[in-house]
Order: sequence, then structure tokens, then C-alpha cells
Amino acid sequence: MARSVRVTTPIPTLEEFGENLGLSKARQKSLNPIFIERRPQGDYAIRRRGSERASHVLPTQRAAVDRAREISPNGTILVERVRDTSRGSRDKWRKL
Amino acid sequence: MRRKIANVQPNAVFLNIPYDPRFRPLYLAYIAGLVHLGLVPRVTLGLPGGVRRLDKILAEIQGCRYSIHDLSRVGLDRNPPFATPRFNMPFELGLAVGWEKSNPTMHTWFIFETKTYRLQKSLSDLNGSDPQIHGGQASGVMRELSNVFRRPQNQPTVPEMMSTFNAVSRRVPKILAEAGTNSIFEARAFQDFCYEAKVAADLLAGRP
Repeated sequence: MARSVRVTTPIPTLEEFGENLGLSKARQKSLNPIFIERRPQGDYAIRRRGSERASHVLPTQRAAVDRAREISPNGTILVERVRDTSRGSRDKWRKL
Repeated sequence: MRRKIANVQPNAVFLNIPYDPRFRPLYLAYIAGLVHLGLVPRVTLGLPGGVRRLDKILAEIQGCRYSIHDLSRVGLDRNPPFATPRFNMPFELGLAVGWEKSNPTMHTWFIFETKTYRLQKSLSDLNGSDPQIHGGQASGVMRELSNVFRRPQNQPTVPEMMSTFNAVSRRVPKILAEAGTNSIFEARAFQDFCYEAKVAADLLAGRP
């Protein structure tokens, strides 16, 4: 008979998961994506996953992307969509 | 002397799979699928040195709440110097079966296979234990993983798990380049695949 199990352990957070894997904090940071989102004021905030506070705020999306690339040259950068297009709508993330 | 048994990690899954280039898509599928289900895959790639390999493997199985044994590659391996069957995977399955028999609350093992009914011939001692048949496809691995691991809430769909698989697959060249290797079966690359899968799964589930 095929077996199955009921998994009740909570889904680990990214940080817990990284620790479980044995990844160093520095490695986790380099792999952790950076989010660029438009603020109500119209400027762009850069923040890491799990962090409420913006690490940088820049006037344009281009400037924010350039800064994010400096911070994490090999990391994933996710930019909040600010227009509705055929590739995706607002409230979705665009991966650079 | 009584050996100290590692603490069982309740969401860890020991993956007993062939490190074979043709197995690459399924290897990534296991990683992506398990991570998407909120589990932590473990393999023998990152085992620390200094201890006998068998002891390390046994400790790894004992430290994981679950194990998956993929017996897709039970055929004859014709690579030189000798054409031999590959005994490692059935052997490790035997270790897990023995461990579960003596500690039924601490471990559960599962067998995955490509072909229906092949296990009845290759390992008839396990008759009565149906393997999960993935058909050699990544989507088949996802389907069977979600049949095996059932979450009372937030059970991901197979297309969602495939989306994580695709995200990890796209990152393979970059991860290998950063690890300075051509092989996906290396410890550092394994960690990075897992982490990428977690990032992709969390994004899809709206957990940024």
C-alpha cells in the first residue's frame, strides 16, 4: 500500500531554512532577494526580505535598481510592477 | 559503546538518489518540490569529513524524520572498470527500513520509482509496499510528493510546485558558475538550489 503522512510542522521562514541548510549569514544575505517598491510619495524604497524598514530610498526606479545592483551584484532583485502590461499587472514582482 | 543518535529534525527529508547527469531534472524536482512543501531536503553531498561514510549516512538518515529512496537507476551501470548494478540506493533504503522498524515514530521512508511493477521484481522483499511512480518526469515527482506529504492547510498545487522547479532550473547556470563547477551534484550548489527554491516558493505563496 502506498504511504502518506500528514505534515504538521510549520513552514520555516527563509532565515530558519537558511540556518537549517547550514548557510552562513553572509551567504544567505547574498542569496536573499532585494525588493524595490514604489512608495506612496512616488519614490522607490530598497529593502531586504523580512525587513520592514527600507535600507535606501531613491527618487527613481532606475536609481534604485542601480543601487540594488551595487549592494548585491549576484543577488536576485525584484521590482514592484508599477504598470499593467501583458507580462504582468501591478502588485506583482518583476525579477531582474 | 552505545552510539549517540542525532536529534531528529521533524521537517528534514533524506534524499537517497542517484548522482547521475541524466537524473538532473528529477534531482532539481525533488529539491523544489520538498522545499515548496515546507520540508528541508538533505543529501549525502555535504557530509563532513573525518568519519566513515557509512556512519555518516546512517547518522543522516537517523537525523531526518523522512527519507525518500528513488530506485529509478537499479539497472546495470556499464561505466568502467566493471559493469555492476548500483547497490548504494537499495542499501541505504535497507538502513532506513531497519531504522524505522526499531523506531517507528522517528522515521518514515518512501520509495519512488520510474516504472510500475519493477520494484516487485528488483526488490521483492518489499512486496506490499507500493512505490510512488513518477514516470521519470519532474511533474510526476511533484505529483507523488504531494500524494505522500499532506499538509492540513496550504497544500501547494502541482503547478505551483512546478513553478518553483522552473525558477530553480533557470538559476542553475548562474549557481554553477558561482560555485565554479559544472556538476550540479555538489554541496554548495545543493544549498543554493534549496535556497533559491525557498525564495521562489515563498514569493509564490506571498511570503516575501
